Amino acid sequence: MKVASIYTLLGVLLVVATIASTVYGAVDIQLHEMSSALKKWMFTGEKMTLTEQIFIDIRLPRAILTIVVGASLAVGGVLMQGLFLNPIVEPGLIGTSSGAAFGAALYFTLGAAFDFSTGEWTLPIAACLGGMIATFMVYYLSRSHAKHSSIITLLLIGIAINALFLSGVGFLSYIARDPQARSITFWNLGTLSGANWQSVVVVGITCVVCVFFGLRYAKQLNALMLGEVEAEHLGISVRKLKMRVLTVNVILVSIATAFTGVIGFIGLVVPHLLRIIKGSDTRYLIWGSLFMGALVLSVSDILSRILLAPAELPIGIVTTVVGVPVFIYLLRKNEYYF
Amino acid sequence: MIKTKALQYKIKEKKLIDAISLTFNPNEISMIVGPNGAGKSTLIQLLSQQREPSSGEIDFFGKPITEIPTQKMARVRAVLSQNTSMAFPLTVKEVVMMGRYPHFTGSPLEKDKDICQESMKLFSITDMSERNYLTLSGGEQQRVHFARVAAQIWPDRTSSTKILLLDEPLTYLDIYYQYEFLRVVKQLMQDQEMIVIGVIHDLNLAYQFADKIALIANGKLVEAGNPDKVFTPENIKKVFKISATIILDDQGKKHLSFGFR
Repeated sequence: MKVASIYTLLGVLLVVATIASTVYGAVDIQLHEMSSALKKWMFTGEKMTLTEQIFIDIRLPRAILTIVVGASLAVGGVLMQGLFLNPIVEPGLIGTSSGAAFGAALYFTLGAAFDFSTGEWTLPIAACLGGMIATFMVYYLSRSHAKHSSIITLLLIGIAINALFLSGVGFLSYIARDPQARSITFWNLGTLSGANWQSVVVVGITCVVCVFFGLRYAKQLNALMLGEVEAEHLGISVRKLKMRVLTVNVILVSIATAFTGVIGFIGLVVPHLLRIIKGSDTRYLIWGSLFMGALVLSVSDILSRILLAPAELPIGIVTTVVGVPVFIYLLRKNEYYF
Repeated sequence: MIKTKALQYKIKEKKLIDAISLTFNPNEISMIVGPNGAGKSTLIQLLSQQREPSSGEIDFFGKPITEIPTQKMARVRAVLSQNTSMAFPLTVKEVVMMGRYPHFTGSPLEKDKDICQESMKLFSITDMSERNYLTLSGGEQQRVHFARVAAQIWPDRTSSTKILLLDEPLTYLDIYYQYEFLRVVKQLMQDQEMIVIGVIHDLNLAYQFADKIALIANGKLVEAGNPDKVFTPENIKKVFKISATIILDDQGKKHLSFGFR
Protein backbone atom coordinates (compact mmCIF):
# COMPACT_ATOMS: atom_id res chain seq x y z
CA MET A 1 0.00 0.00 0.00
CA LYS A 2 1.24 3.48 -0.85
CA VAL A 3 1.79 5.92 2.00
CA ALA A 4 -0.67 8.39 0.46
CA SER A 5 -3.43 5.78 0.34
CA ILE A 6 -2.76 4.86 3.99
CA TYR A 7 -3.24 8.51 4.99
CA THR A 8 -6.38 8.77 2.84
CA LEU A 9 -7.89 5.62 4.31
CA LEU A 10 -7.14 6.70 7.88
CA GLY A 11 -8.47 10.18 7.11
CA VAL A 12 -11.77 8.85 5.77
CA LEU A 13 -12.18 6.51 8.75
CA LEU A 14 -11.42 9.40 11.09
CA VAL A 15 -14.12 11.59 9.53
CA VAL A 16 -16.65 8.74 9.87
CA ALA A 17 -15.65 8.10 13.49
CA THR A 18 -15.84 11.79 14.34
CA ILE A 19 -19.33 12.16 12.87
CA ALA A 20 -20.43 9.00 14.67
CA SER A 21 -19.02 10.30 17.93
CA THR A 22 -20.98 13.56 17.64
CA VAL A 23 -24.21 11.72 16.71
CA TYR A 24 -24.30 9.20 19.57
CA GLY A 25 -24.92 10.24 23.12
CA ALA A 26 -27.65 10.83 25.67
CA VAL A 27 -29.38 12.84 22.95
CA ASP A 28 -28.92 11.67 19.37
CA ILE A 29 -28.20 14.58 17.10
CA GLN A 30 -29.18 14.49 13.42
CA LEU A 31 -26.85 15.67 10.67
CA HIS A 32 -29.19 18.51 9.63
CA GLU A 33 -29.21 19.75 13.20
CA MET A 34 -25.43 19.76 13.17
CA SER A 35 -25.25 21.81 10.00
CA SER A 36 -27.85 24.31 11.17
CA ALA A 37 -26.03 24.61 14.51
CA LEU A 38 -22.74 25.26 12.74
CA LYS A 39 -24.41 27.87 10.50
CA LYS A 40 -25.91 29.69 13.46
CA TRP A 41 -22.70 29.47 15.49
CA MET A 42 -20.35 30.66 12.80
CA PHE A 43 -22.42 33.03 10.64
CA THR A 44 -25.87 34.12 11.71
CA GLY A 45 -25.54 34.09 15.49
CA GLU A 46 -29.25 33.16 15.85
CA LYS A 47 -30.45 31.54 19.03
CA MET A 48 -29.85 27.79 19.01
CA THR A 49 -32.19 25.01 20.06
CA LEU A 50 -31.18 22.85 23.02
CA THR A 51 -29.93 20.05 20.76
CA GLU A 52 -27.90 22.50 18.72
CA GLN A 53 -26.49 23.94 21.93
CA ILE A 54 -25.46 20.45 23.08
CA PHE A 55 -23.78 19.87 19.77
CA ILE A 56 -21.79 23.11 19.82
CA ASP A 57 -20.90 23.20 23.50
CA ILE A 58 -20.44 19.54 24.37
CA ARG A 59 -20.24 17.09 21.47
CA LEU A 60 -18.13 19.06 19.04
CA PRO A 61 -15.41 20.16 21.49
CA ARG A 62 -15.31 16.62 22.87
CA ALA A 63 -14.91 15.09 19.41
CA ILE A 64 -12.17 17.54 18.49
CA LEU A 65 -10.39 17.17 21.83
CA THR A 66 -10.44 13.40 21.31
CA ILE A 67 -8.77 13.89 17.92
CA VAL A 68 -6.00 16.18 19.16
CA VAL A 69 -5.34 14.18 22.34
CA GLY A 70 -5.19 10.88 20.42
CA ALA A 71 -2.86 12.45 17.89
CA SER A 72 -0.66 13.97 20.61
CA LEU A 73 -0.29 10.72 22.56
CA ALA A 74 0.47 8.66 19.46
CA VAL A 75 3.06 11.13 18.16
CA GLY A 76 4.55 11.20 21.66
CA GLY A 77 4.90 7.42 21.42
CA VAL A 78 6.69 7.67 18.07
CA LEU A 79 9.12 10.27 19.40
CA MET A 80 9.91 8.28 22.54
CA GLN A 81 10.36 4.96 20.77
CA GLY A 82 12.64 6.64 18.27
CA LEU A 83 14.65 8.42 20.93
CA PHE A 84 15.08 5.40 23.18
CA LEU A 85 15.62 3.00 20.26
CA ASN A 86 13.19 0.72 21.94
CA PRO A 87 9.84 -0.41 20.60
CA ILE A 88 8.25 -0.88 24.03
CA VAL A 89 8.68 2.70 25.21
CA GLU A 90 5.71 4.96 25.64
CA PRO A 91 5.50 8.39 27.27
CA GLY A 92 4.39 6.69 30.47
CA LEU A 93 7.68 4.86 30.79
CA ILE A 94 9.90 7.87 31.33
CA GLY A 95 7.84 9.51 34.01
CA THR A 96 5.70 11.90 31.97
CA SER A 97 2.29 10.40 32.78
CA SER A 98 3.06 9.38 36.35
CA GLY A 99 4.49 12.82 37.07
CA ALA A 100 1.38 14.42 35.60
CA ALA A 101 -0.81 12.08 37.65
CA PHE A 102 1.10 13.03 40.79
CA GLY A 103 0.67 16.73 40.03
CA ALA A 104 -3.05 16.21 39.61
CA ALA A 105 -3.36 14.11 42.77
CA LEU A 106 -1.45 16.72 44.76
CA TYR A 107 -3.79 19.36 43.44
CA PHE A 108 -6.87 17.37 44.46
CA THR A 109 -5.70 16.64 48.01
CA LEU A 110 -4.10 20.02 48.72
CA GLY A 111 -7.09 21.75 47.18
CA ALA A 112 -9.30 19.94 49.67
CA ALA A 113 -6.98 20.51 52.63
CA PHE A 114 -6.36 24.23 52.15
CA ASP A 115 -9.58 24.96 50.32
CA PHE A 116 -7.94 27.21 47.70
CA SER A 117 -9.86 28.45 44.72
CA THR A 118 -10.09 25.80 42.08
CA GLY A 119 -9.96 27.71 38.83
CA GLU A 120 -10.36 25.94 35.52
CA TRP A 121 -6.64 26.15 34.81
CA THR A 122 -5.20 24.99 38.10
CA LEU A 123 -5.53 21.27 37.46
CA PRO A 124 -3.97 21.27 33.96
CA ILE A 125 -1.10 23.45 35.17
CA ALA A 126 -0.45 21.20 38.18
CA ALA A 127 -0.48 18.09 36.00
CA CYS A 128 1.71 19.65 33.34
CA LEU A 129 4.28 20.77 35.92
CA GLY A 130 4.29 17.30 37.48
CA GLY A 131 4.92 15.66 34.10
CA MET A 132 7.73 18.05 33.29
CA ILE A 133 9.42 17.69 36.67
CA ALA A 134 9.34 13.89 36.51
CA THR A 135 10.61 13.71 32.92
CA PHE A 136 13.47 16.12 33.45
CA MET A 137 14.39 14.38 36.69
CA VAL A 138 14.73 11.18 34.67
CA TYR A 139 16.77 12.97 32.05
CA TYR A 140 19.18 14.72 34.39
CA LEU A 141 19.70 11.77 36.74
CA SER A 142 20.61 9.53 33.84
CA ARG A 143 23.04 12.01 32.34
CA SER A 144 26.59 10.92 32.97
CA HIS A 145 29.87 12.66 32.35
CA ALA A 146 30.63 10.38 29.43
CA LYS A 147 29.99 11.79 25.99
CA HIS A 148 27.21 9.27 25.45
CA SER A 149 24.78 8.93 28.30
CA SER A 150 23.41 5.46 27.93
CA ILE A 151 19.85 4.97 26.81
CA ILE A 152 19.57 1.90 29.05
CA THR A 153 20.42 4.00 32.11
CA LEU A 154 17.79 6.50 31.05
CA LEU A 155 15.18 3.77 30.79
CA LEU A 156 16.05 2.19 34.15
CA ILE A 157 15.95 5.53 35.92
CA GLY A 158 12.63 6.14 34.16
CA ILE A 159 11.24 2.98 35.70
CA ALA A 160 12.50 4.02 39.17
CA ILE A 161 11.12 7.57 38.96
CA ASN A 162 7.83 6.18 37.66
CA ALA A 163 7.56 3.88 40.67
CA LEU A 164 8.32 6.79 42.96
CA PHE A 165 5.63 9.06 41.53
CA LEU A 166 3.07 6.26 41.32
CA SER A 167 3.59 5.43 44.98
CA GLY A 168 3.21 9.15 45.63
CA VAL A 169 -0.15 9.03 43.87
CA GLY A 170 -1.00 5.90 45.90
CA PHE A 171 -0.13 7.67 49.14
CA LEU A 172 -2.21 10.72 48.25
CA SER A 173 -5.25 8.66 47.34
CA TYR A 174 -4.76 6.69 50.58
CA ILE A 175 -4.86 9.81 52.77
CA ALA A 176 -7.49 11.59 50.67
CA ARG A 177 -11.14 11.71 51.75
CA ASP A 178 -13.83 10.38 49.51
CA PRO A 179 -14.62 13.01 46.87
CA GLN A 180 -10.92 13.75 46.33
CA ALA A 181 -9.95 10.09 46.30
CA ARG A 182 -12.58 9.47 43.65
CA SER A 183 -11.31 12.40 41.61
CA ILE A 184 -7.78 11.00 41.73
CA THR A 185 -8.96 7.57 40.63
CA PHE A 186 -11.12 8.99 37.88
CA TRP A 187 -8.30 11.20 36.63
CA ASN A 188 -5.86 8.28 36.62
CA LEU A 189 -8.20 6.36 34.35
CA GLY A 190 -8.62 9.23 31.94
CA THR A 191 -11.72 11.08 30.86
CA LEU A 192 -12.73 13.21 27.92
CA SER A 193 -15.90 14.48 29.54
CA GLY A 194 -14.31 17.74 30.65
CA ALA A 195 -13.83 18.88 27.07
CA ASN A 196 -14.54 22.51 26.25
CA TRP A 197 -13.37 24.92 23.58
CA GLN A 198 -10.60 26.23 25.78
CA SER A 199 -9.00 22.81 26.18
CA VAL A 200 -9.44 22.15 22.45
CA VAL A 201 -7.54 25.32 21.60
CA VAL A 202 -4.70 24.71 24.06
CA VAL A 203 -4.16 21.03 23.22
CA GLY A 204 -4.68 21.69 19.50
CA ILE A 205 -2.10 24.46 19.26
CA THR A 206 0.38 22.46 21.33
CA CYS A 207 -0.14 19.46 19.09
CA VAL A 208 0.42 21.42 15.87
CA VAL A 209 3.57 23.14 17.16
CA CYS A 210 5.06 19.95 18.61
CA VAL A 211 4.33 17.90 15.50
CA PHE A 212 5.98 20.59 13.40
CA PHE A 213 9.15 20.19 15.48
CA GLY A 214 8.80 16.41 15.54
CA LEU A 215 8.81 16.37 11.75
CA ARG A 216 11.93 18.53 11.74
CA TYR A 217 13.75 15.90 13.81
CA ALA A 218 12.37 12.97 11.78
CA LYS A 219 15.48 12.51 9.67
CA GLN A 220 17.75 12.61 12.71
CA LEU A 221 15.57 10.11 14.56
CA ASN A 222 15.82 7.81 11.55
CA ALA A 223 19.61 8.00 11.69
CA LEU A 224 19.49 7.28 15.41
CA MET A 225 18.04 3.85 14.58
CA LEU A 226 21.58 2.89 13.58
CA GLY A 227 22.73 3.65 17.13
CA GLU A 228 24.13 6.75 18.78
CA VAL A 229 27.65 6.35 17.46
CA GLU A 230 26.60 5.84 13.86
CA ALA A 231 24.22 8.79 14.10
CA GLU A 232 27.11 11.00 15.16
CA HIS A 233 29.09 9.77 12.18
CA LEU A 234 26.25 11.10 10.07
CA GLY A 235 26.85 14.52 11.60
CA ILE A 236 24.12 14.49 14.24
CA SER A 237 24.68 15.83 17.73
CA VAL A 238 22.93 13.07 19.67
CA ARG A 239 23.00 14.93 22.97
CA LYS A 240 21.25 17.97 21.52
CA LEU A 241 18.79 15.78 19.66
CA LYS A 242 17.83 13.90 22.84
CA MET A 243 17.28 17.12 24.77
CA ARG A 244 15.16 18.66 22.03
CA VAL A 245 13.01 15.60 21.36
CA LEU A 246 12.46 15.09 25.08
CA THR A 247 11.35 18.69 25.45
CA VAL A 248 8.93 18.44 22.54
CA ASN A 249 7.57 15.18 23.90
CA VAL A 250 7.12 16.33 27.47
CA ILE A 251 5.20 19.41 26.37
CA LEU A 252 3.05 17.40 23.95
CA VAL A 253 2.16 14.62 26.40
CA SER A 254 1.89 16.67 29.61
CA ILE A 255 -0.51 19.17 28.07
CA ALA A 256 -2.72 16.48 26.57
CA THR A 257 -2.64 14.48 29.81
CA ALA A 258 -3.33 17.59 31.86
CA PHE A 259 -6.78 18.02 30.31
CA THR A 260 -7.84 14.38 30.09
CA GLY A 261 -5.99 12.39 32.74
CA VAL A 262 -3.87 9.34 32.01
CA ILE A 263 -4.86 7.54 28.80
CA GLY A 264 -2.59 4.57 28.30
CA PHE A 265 -1.61 2.38 25.38
CA ILE A 266 -2.32 4.79 22.52
CA GLY A 267 1.34 5.83 22.45
CA LEU A 268 2.43 2.22 22.40
CA VAL A 269 -0.01 0.49 20.07
CA VAL A 270 -0.46 3.11 17.35
CA PRO A 271 3.21 3.35 16.26
CA HIS A 272 3.38 -0.46 16.28
CA LEU A 273 0.38 -0.81 14.01
CA LEU A 274 1.86 1.73 11.63
CA ARG A 275 5.22 -0.04 11.56
CA ILE A 276 3.51 -3.27 10.63
CA ILE A 277 1.63 -1.57 7.79
CA LYS A 278 4.59 0.19 6.28
CA GLY A 279 7.93 0.21 8.08
CA SER A 280 9.56 2.64 10.49
CA ASP A 281 10.40 5.80 8.58
CA THR A 282 9.89 8.46 11.26
CA ARG A 283 8.24 11.02 8.96
CA TYR A 284 5.64 8.43 7.94
CA LEU A 285 5.16 7.34 11.56
CA ILE A 286 4.50 10.91 12.72
CA TRP A 287 1.98 11.68 9.97
CA GLY A 288 0.40 8.25 10.33
CA SER A 289 0.16 8.61 14.13
CA LEU A 290 -1.65 11.91 13.78
CA PHE A 291 -4.44 10.16 11.90
CA MET A 292 -4.36 6.79 13.58
CA GLY A 293 -3.98 8.11 17.14
CA ALA A 294 -6.98 10.35 16.56
CA LEU A 295 -8.94 7.48 15.00
CA VAL A 296 -8.18 4.96 17.75
CA LEU A 297 -9.06 7.39 20.51
CA SER A 298 -12.28 8.47 18.74
CA VAL A 299 -13.41 4.87 18.38
CA SER A 300 -12.47 4.17 22.02
CA ASP A 301 -14.47 7.22 23.08
CA ILE A 302 -17.56 5.98 21.22
CA LEU A 303 -17.13 2.58 22.87
CA SER A 304 -16.70 4.15 26.30
CA ARG A 305 -20.08 5.88 25.88
CA ILE A 306 -22.12 3.02 24.44
CA LEU A 307 -20.78 -0.01 26.35
CA LEU A 308 -22.37 0.89 29.69
CA ALA A 309 -24.87 3.47 28.40
CA PRO A 310 -26.20 5.66 29.88
CA ALA A 311 -23.13 5.49 32.18
CA GLU A 312 -19.72 6.26 30.76
CA LEU A 313 -16.60 4.11 31.13
CA PRO A 314 -13.32 5.91 31.84
CA ILE A 315 -11.57 6.14 28.46
CA GLY A 316 -8.24 4.84 29.80
CA ILE A 317 -9.89 1.52 30.63
CA VAL A 318 -11.22 1.18 27.09
CA THR A 319 -7.90 1.97 25.41
CA THR A 320 -6.11 -0.48 27.67
CA VAL A 321 -8.63 -3.28 27.31
CA VAL A 322 -8.69 -2.90 23.54
CA GLY A 323 -4.98 -2.18 23.28
CA VAL A 324 -3.53 -5.06 25.26
CA PRO A 325 -4.93 -7.98 23.19
CA VAL A 326 -4.08 -6.22 19.93
CA PHE A 327 -0.58 -5.61 21.22
CA ILE A 328 -0.02 -9.19 22.38
CA TYR A 329 -1.44 -10.58 19.14
CA LEU A 330 0.91 -8.41 17.12
CA LEU A 331 3.93 -9.38 19.17
CA ARG A 332 3.18 -13.07 18.80
CA LYS A 333 2.79 -12.80 15.05
CA ASN A 334 6.30 -13.64 14.00
CA GLU A 335 6.71 -11.20 11.15
CA TYR A 336 7.72 -8.57 13.62
CA TYR A 337 11.40 -8.33 14.39
CA PHE A 338 13.18 -6.83 17.32
CA MET B 1 45.91 14.87 4.14
CA ILE B 2 45.33 13.85 7.74
CA LYS B 3 48.07 14.30 10.32
CA THR B 4 48.02 13.06 13.88
CA LYS B 5 50.41 14.98 16.08
CA ALA B 6 51.65 13.23 19.23
CA LEU B 7 48.19 11.83 19.73
CA GLN B 8 47.52 10.51 23.21
CA TYR B 9 44.44 8.95 24.77
CA LYS B 10 44.31 8.00 28.44
CA ILE B 11 41.67 6.36 30.58
CA LYS B 12 42.65 7.11 34.18
CA GLU B 13 46.43 6.69 34.00
CA LYS B 14 46.45 3.98 31.33
CA LYS B 15 47.68 5.19 27.97
CA LEU B 16 45.66 3.46 25.25
CA ILE B 17 47.22 5.61 22.56
CA ASP B 18 50.68 6.95 23.28
CA ALA B 19 52.35 9.67 21.22
CA ILE B 20 51.27 8.48 17.79
CA SER B 21 52.24 10.78 14.92
CA LEU B 22 51.15 9.59 11.51
CA THR B 23 50.40 11.09 8.12
CA PHE B 24 47.64 9.73 5.91
CA ASN B 25 47.76 10.84 2.29
CA PRO B 26 45.00 11.10 -0.31
CA ASN B 27 44.81 8.26 -2.81
CA GLU B 28 46.33 5.85 -0.32
CA ILE B 29 44.83 2.99 1.61
CA SER B 30 46.39 2.88 5.06
CA MET B 31 45.85 -0.11 7.27
CA ILE B 32 46.39 -0.14 11.01
CA VAL B 33 47.51 -3.56 12.24
CA GLY B 34 48.55 -4.89 15.61
CA PRO B 35 47.68 -7.51 18.21
CA ASN B 36 44.50 -7.49 20.31
CA GLY B 37 44.38 -4.55 22.69
CA ALA B 38 47.02 -2.61 20.76
CA GLY B 39 44.73 0.41 20.40
CA LYS B 40 43.75 0.02 16.74
CA SER B 41 40.05 0.67 17.25
CA THR B 42 40.79 3.47 19.72
CA LEU B 43 42.90 5.16 17.05
CA ILE B 44 40.03 4.90 14.54
CA GLN B 45 37.63 6.26 17.18
CA LEU B 46 39.93 9.24 17.71
CA LEU B 47 40.02 9.83 13.96
CA SER B 48 36.22 9.62 13.77
CA GLN B 49 35.92 11.97 16.80
CA GLN B 50 33.95 9.40 18.68
CA ARG B 51 36.56 9.93 21.40
CA GLU B 52 38.48 13.08 22.23
CA PRO B 53 42.26 12.82 22.56
CA SER B 54 43.77 13.52 25.99
CA SER B 55 46.51 15.48 24.26
CA GLY B 56 47.86 16.00 20.79
CA GLU B 57 45.75 16.87 17.80
CA ILE B 58 44.44 15.71 14.44
CA ASP B 59 44.81 18.00 11.42
CA PHE B 60 42.78 17.75 8.25
CA PHE B 61 44.65 19.66 5.52
CA GLY B 62 46.41 21.81 8.10
CA LYS B 63 43.30 22.66 10.10
CA PRO B 64 42.60 21.09 13.50
CA ILE B 65 39.71 18.70 12.96
CA THR B 66 37.91 20.05 16.05
CA GLU B 67 37.48 23.41 14.30
CA ILE B 68 35.48 21.88 11.45
CA PRO B 69 31.72 21.73 12.13
CA THR B 70 30.34 18.21 12.67
CA GLN B 71 27.81 18.55 9.88
CA LYS B 72 30.50 19.61 7.39
CA MET B 73 32.75 16.76 8.50
CA ALA B 74 29.93 14.25 7.96
CA ARG B 75 29.75 15.27 4.31
CA VAL B 76 33.34 14.21 3.69
CA ARG B 77 34.00 11.56 6.31
CA ALA B 78 32.22 8.22 6.60
CA VAL B 79 32.83 5.50 9.16
CA LEU B 80 32.06 1.83 8.70
CA SER B 81 32.15 -0.41 11.73
CA GLN B 82 32.02 -4.08 12.42
CA ASN B 83 28.37 -4.56 13.14
CA THR B 84 25.54 -2.12 13.33
CA SER B 85 22.36 -3.30 14.95
CA MET B 86 19.03 -1.69 14.27
CA ALA B 87 16.04 -1.37 16.54
CA PHE B 88 13.27 -1.02 13.95
CA PRO B 89 12.32 -2.45 10.58
CA LEU B 90 13.40 -0.24 7.67
CA THR B 91 13.80 -1.11 4.02
CA VAL B 92 17.28 -1.50 2.56
CA LYS B 93 16.63 1.58 0.42
CA GLU B 94 15.84 3.67 3.50
CA VAL B 95 19.01 2.56 5.29
CA VAL B 96 21.17 3.43 2.27
CA MET B 97 19.47 6.85 2.05
CA MET B 98 20.73 7.62 5.57
CA GLY B 99 24.15 8.03 4.00
CA ARG B 100 22.79 11.08 2.19
CA TYR B 101 21.32 12.67 5.36
CA PRO B 102 24.26 15.05 5.86
CA HIS B 103 23.73 16.35 2.31
CA PHE B 104 20.10 17.45 2.32
CA THR B 105 17.58 19.07 4.64
CA GLY B 106 13.96 17.94 4.54
CA SER B 107 13.38 15.50 1.70
CA PRO B 108 16.03 13.85 -0.49
CA LEU B 109 16.70 15.42 -3.89
CA GLU B 110 16.77 13.51 -7.18
CA LYS B 111 20.55 13.60 -6.96
CA ASP B 112 20.49 11.82 -3.60
CA LYS B 113 18.13 9.15 -4.93
CA ASP B 114 20.36 8.60 -7.95
CA ILE B 115 23.43 8.23 -5.77
CA CYS B 116 21.67 5.64 -3.60
CA GLN B 117 20.70 3.68 -6.72
CA GLU B 118 24.27 3.77 -8.01
CA SER B 119 25.67 2.79 -4.65
CA MET B 120 23.29 -0.16 -4.29
CA LYS B 121 24.25 -1.28 -7.79
CA LEU B 122 27.93 -1.09 -6.85
CA PHE B 123 27.43 -3.47 -3.94
CA SER B 124 24.92 -5.66 -5.84
CA ILE B 125 22.05 -5.10 -3.42
CA THR B 126 19.62 -3.47 -5.88
CA ASP B 127 17.46 -6.61 -5.85
CA MET B 128 16.85 -6.33 -2.14
CA SER B 129 16.22 -2.57 -2.03
CA GLU B 130 12.58 -2.99 -0.92
CA ARG B 131 13.29 -5.72 1.62
CA ASN B 132 13.19 -5.30 5.39
CA TYR B 133 16.75 -4.80 6.60
CA LEU B 134 16.10 -6.89 9.72
CA THR B 135 15.30 -9.99 7.65
CA LEU B 136 18.69 -10.00 5.91
CA SER B 137 21.63 -12.20 6.83
CA GLY B 138 24.63 -10.68 8.62
CA GLY B 139 26.67 -10.51 5.45
CA GLU B 140 23.83 -8.91 3.49
CA GLN B 141 23.31 -6.34 6.24
CA GLN B 142 26.97 -5.42 6.12
CA ARG B 143 26.75 -4.86 2.35
CA VAL B 144 23.82 -2.52 2.97
CA HIS B 145 26.08 -0.50 5.28
CA PHE B 146 28.83 -0.53 2.65
CA ALA B 147 26.35 1.04 0.25
CA ARG B 148 25.18 3.53 2.88
CA VAL B 149 28.73 4.63 3.68
CA ALA B 150 29.66 4.83 -0.01
CA ALA B 151 26.57 7.00 -0.63
CA GLN B 152 27.72 9.31 2.16
CA ILE B 153 31.06 10.07 0.50
CA TRP B 154 29.96 9.54 -3.09
CA PRO B 155 32.07 11.40 -5.70
CA ASP B 156 30.53 14.82 -6.31
CA ARG B 157 31.61 18.05 -7.90
CA THR B 158 33.10 19.47 -4.72
CA SER B 159 36.84 19.09 -4.84
CA SER B 160 37.16 18.21 -1.16
CA THR B 161 39.01 15.05 -0.24
CA LYS B 162 36.81 12.33 1.24
CA ILE B 163 37.77 10.18 4.22
CA LEU B 164 36.71 6.59 4.73
CA LEU B 165 37.39 5.03 8.13
CA LEU B 166 37.01 1.28 8.45
CA ASP B 167 36.80 -0.33 11.87
CA GLU B 168 37.19 -4.04 11.12
CA PRO B 169 34.28 -4.02 8.67
CA LEU B 170 35.23 -7.30 7.01
CA THR B 171 35.16 -9.54 10.07
CA TYR B 172 31.92 -11.38 9.32
CA LEU B 173 32.20 -11.51 5.56
CA ASP B 174 33.24 -14.44 3.47
CA ILE B 175 36.41 -14.19 1.42
CA TYR B 176 34.61 -13.19 -1.78
CA TYR B 177 33.00 -10.12 -0.25
CA GLN B 178 36.18 -9.18 1.61
CA TYR B 179 38.03 -8.88 -1.71
CA GLU B 180 35.01 -7.46 -3.50
CA PHE B 181 34.64 -4.70 -0.91
CA LEU B 182 38.27 -3.65 -1.11
CA ARG B 183 38.07 -3.73 -4.91
CA VAL B 184 35.05 -1.40 -4.83
CA VAL B 185 36.85 0.94 -2.44
CA LYS B 186 39.70 1.15 -4.94
CA GLN B 187 37.17 1.87 -7.67
CA LEU B 188 35.71 4.77 -5.66
CA MET B 189 39.24 6.10 -5.19
CA GLN B 190 39.63 6.35 -8.97
CA ASP B 191 36.77 8.85 -9.17
CA GLN B 192 37.85 11.22 -6.42
CA GLU B 193 40.56 12.02 -3.92
CA MET B 194 40.10 9.78 -0.92
CA ILE B 195 41.92 8.93 2.26
CA VAL B 196 41.16 5.39 3.38
CA ILE B 197 42.19 4.30 6.87
CA GLY B 198 41.26 0.88 8.12
CA VAL B 199 41.76 -1.54 10.96
CA ILE B 200 42.15 -5.05 9.71
CA HIS B 201 43.03 -8.36 11.33
CA ASP B 202 43.99 -10.34 8.26
CA LEU B 203 47.61 -9.40 7.60
CA ASN B 204 47.57 -10.96 4.14
CA LEU B 205 44.56 -8.90 3.11
CA ALA B 206 46.38 -5.82 4.40
CA TYR B 207 49.47 -6.84 2.44
CA GLN B 208 47.49 -7.12 -0.80
CA PHE B 209 45.51 -3.91 -0.63
CA ALA B 210 47.33 -1.40 1.59
CA ASP B 211 49.63 1.29 0.29
CA LYS B 212 50.76 1.97 3.80
CA ILE B 213 50.80 -0.02 7.02
CA ALA B 214 50.93 1.33 10.57
CA LEU B 215 51.98 -1.38 12.98
CA ILE B 216 51.04 -0.58 16.56
CA ALA B 217 51.44 -2.38 19.87
CA ASN B 218 50.54 -1.24 23.42
CA GLY B 219 49.30 2.06 22.07
CA LYS B 220 52.65 2.90 20.49
CA LEU B 221 53.67 3.08 16.86
CA VAL B 222 56.17 0.31 16.09
CA GLU B 223 56.72 0.92 12.41
CA ALA B 224 54.98 2.70 9.55
CA GLY B 225 55.58 2.57 5.84
CA ASN B 226 54.84 0.43 2.81
CA PRO B 227 53.93 -3.22 3.44
CA ASP B 228 57.35 -4.52 2.39
CA LYS B 229 59.02 -2.28 4.94
CA VAL B 230 56.64 -3.09 7.81
CA PHE B 231 55.87 -6.79 7.31
CA THR B 232 59.32 -8.14 8.07
CA PRO B 233 59.66 -11.41 9.98
CA GLU B 234 61.43 -9.44 12.74
CA ASN B 235 58.62 -6.92 13.20
CA ILE B 236 55.97 -9.64 13.18
CA LYS B 237 57.88 -11.76 15.66
CA LYS B 238 58.34 -8.75 17.95
CA VAL B 239 54.69 -7.65 17.90
CA PHE B 240 52.60 -10.79 17.32
CA LYS B 241 55.00 -13.30 18.97
CA ILE B 242 54.73 -15.62 16.01
CA SER B 243 57.18 -16.54 13.24
CA ALA B 244 56.42 -15.46 9.71
CA THR B 245 57.83 -16.43 6.35
CA ILE B 246 57.27 -14.46 3.19
CA ILE B 247 56.19 -16.59 0.25
CA LEU B 248 56.01 -15.48 -3.37
CA ASP B 249 53.11 -16.98 -5.33
CA ASP B 250 53.32 -17.72 -9.05
CA GLN B 251 51.92 -14.27 -9.86
CA GLY B 252 54.68 -12.64 -7.87
CA LYS B 253 52.41 -11.59 -5.01
CA LYS B 254 53.79 -11.78 -1.50
CA HIS B 255 52.00 -13.74 1.22
CA LEU B 256 52.76 -14.25 4.86
CA SER B 257 52.79 -17.73 6.30
CA PHE B 258 52.74 -18.10 10.06
CA GLY B 259 53.80 -20.73 12.54
CA PHE B 260 55.54 -21.31 15.88
CA ARG B 261 59.13 -22.03 15.17
